[in-house]
Amino acid sequence: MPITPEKTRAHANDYAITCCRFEAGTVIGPANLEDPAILPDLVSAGLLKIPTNCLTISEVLGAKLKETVDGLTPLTSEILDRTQTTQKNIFEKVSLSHLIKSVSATTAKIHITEGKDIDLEIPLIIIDIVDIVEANKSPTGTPDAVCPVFLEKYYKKRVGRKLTRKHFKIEKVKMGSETKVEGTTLTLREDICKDAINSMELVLDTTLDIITPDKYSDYSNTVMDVQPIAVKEEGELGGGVTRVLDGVVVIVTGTDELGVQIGEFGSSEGVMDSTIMWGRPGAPEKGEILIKPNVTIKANTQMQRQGPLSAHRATEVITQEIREALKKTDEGSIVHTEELVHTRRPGKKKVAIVKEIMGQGAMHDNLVMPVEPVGILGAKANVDLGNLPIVVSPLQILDGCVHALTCVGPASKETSRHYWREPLVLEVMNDEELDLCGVILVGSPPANAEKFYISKILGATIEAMDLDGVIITTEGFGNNHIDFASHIEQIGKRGIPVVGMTYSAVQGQLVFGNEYMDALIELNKSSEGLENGILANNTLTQEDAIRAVAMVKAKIAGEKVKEAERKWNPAVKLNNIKMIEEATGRKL
Amino acid sequence: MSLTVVKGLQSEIFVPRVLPPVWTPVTKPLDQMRVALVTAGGVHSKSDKRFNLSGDTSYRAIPGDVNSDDLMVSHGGYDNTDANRDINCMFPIDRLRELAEEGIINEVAGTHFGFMGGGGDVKALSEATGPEIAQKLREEQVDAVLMTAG
Repeated sequence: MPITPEKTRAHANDYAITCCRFEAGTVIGPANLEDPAILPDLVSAGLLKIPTNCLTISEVLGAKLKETVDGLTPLTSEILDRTQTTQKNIFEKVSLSHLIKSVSATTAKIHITEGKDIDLEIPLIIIDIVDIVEANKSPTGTPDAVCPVFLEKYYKKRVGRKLTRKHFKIEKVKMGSETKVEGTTLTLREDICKDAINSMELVLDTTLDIITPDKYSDYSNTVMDVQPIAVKEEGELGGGVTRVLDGVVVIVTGTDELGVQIGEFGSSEGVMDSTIMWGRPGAPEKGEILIKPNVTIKANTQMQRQGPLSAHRATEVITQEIREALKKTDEGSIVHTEELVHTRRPGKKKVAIVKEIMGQGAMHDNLVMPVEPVGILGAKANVDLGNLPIVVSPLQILDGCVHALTCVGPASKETSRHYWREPLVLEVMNDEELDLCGVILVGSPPANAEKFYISKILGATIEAMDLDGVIITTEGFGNNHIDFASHIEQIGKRGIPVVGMTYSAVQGQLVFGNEYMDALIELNKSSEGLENGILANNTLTQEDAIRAVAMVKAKIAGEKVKEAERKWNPAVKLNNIKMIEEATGRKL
Repeated sequence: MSLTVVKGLQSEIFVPRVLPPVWTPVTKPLDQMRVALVTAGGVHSKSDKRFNLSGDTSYRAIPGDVNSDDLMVSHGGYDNTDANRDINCMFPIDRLRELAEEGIINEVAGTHFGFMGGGGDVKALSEATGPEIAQKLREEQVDAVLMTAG
């Protein structure tokens, strides 16, 4: 495939190889040249040999072929007449900052001391105002003295949204006559499981285990979800006040009546100590008490929508009763109040986070925008929403607007708790150099045609947002990598710097991609690069978020990100960490 | 514009930019061909061993005269409801037989193949599983293969 004229500059120093057969006398232009990005594949397939005297693209543009050549011919001096090649300075960048003489509220005056045939027509709106201000710093070095008008408009931060979280600490969970939260004790109604069983037709049984740290080495059925216990005290998701219990989480587990684990892609049943990656954002923390319903559903229903959903709904009966009790708990039991703030920073680089999540129905699905944090009531299944892009605020994510049914491989799935503590959202939201405008959730359907339909709509959504950069994440691997690649292409081809984050390594290695996937962050943390069945092992952590932010800033600044090695090599990530630590002084 | 820029970062995941697939030239009309079904959709006989949902490089042979009610799906990558209701939406064996009866294809092959993949060992799939299935299809003198995936 020939390269486009726009890419010629980027490939100036790459080898010049013809893409097709061309007659003698042809003047070489971009349309005659093979895309250098696929040359390594051609060489390793034995289809191409590049001689040492092969010229580069910048050296052959404008030259004339002395003889007819076939496709995939390396261009060398012998077969080209290079007397008429284009001028060498075609690739030199022209910078205007040294020309800008002064600035007022509405104009930039440009002075050119010496020049020839120069036509300048620059709508002021496209000159980066901050660059002008920087270029005209007053002698004291502060831009403030120069342009108060600009600073007023462009540097003023704007507080978008605030969410208050009130934390109640639980140190003991026991059974009793009614569900309540008193001091640091959570009591659960003794016959609460009966209501859970009766809630759904497919649920045959529900038992409840209270797992204290001394029981972590017990066996558990597969973990379907990890959920914080939280309730809205005031306002709606993403604002107002939320109450949350610390020291305790709900773990949804279950099998069907024949004992088949409710897991679609591997499962994490086993001794909890070794099947859970404690401390990951989506996993429990060591020391927490686990409220663990074990739901049994009708045989052979775990791979159909109603099966796993029933297990979640049965659990929800228990969680909702705790929420109602928490709502009534005395304020005196609050141990700690925090404020999550989403600040808009006009004038900083505007970015969005895209989270590609599951939307295939059955367990590969998520419920979006419930009434209560990570609740079910009021939420809609992503598959029913057609998997179309949904723009939400970062605080809505952190306040539990996604209830995860997801069961891609346990190691890479993002549980409900993962969204509650999403490291990438927190990292970007709190970065003073960036303006996070929102989070876009986009589901991944199973069928190919639908994937691209949705991807194009995501492209249009992105286009309307005037972004400087995008970071896109996905949970799972394999089927959803098709959408992942397409979304990156939709974003990249609009000229927006984009960084992708996924588990890939060995087992999830990409089988196909495009030229815009040139900045990717590996989420693998298994030593063999595998989906190892350990809950949340390969999910997105703060360390991954920091690397992604560094990579997107580098791309925004026009800095080249080196090409990945052909095989998974964990040293690449370690090297990136080292460079970030050295450049920022921040220990990862 | 104040932006902390780290130089020299490297992308952490390799992206293959595959060349187009190599198609085998067609040497006879469709109505003279013996056609087999090969599916990555995790289809197998109910009496056969299930696939390991978290990655499986094995495959199952499915006899060409199998009763479609005796087939099932074990695949973790898609909602199996429709395939379990009518296996033909993933493994159209009954439809293929109808095509043979109508003379659109010459005949249905004696053996068909199902595998699952599902994130299994890519090396084993491309160096062992794939070539083995191809060899068996060759031995049965199959002219064309219809592939489906899940």
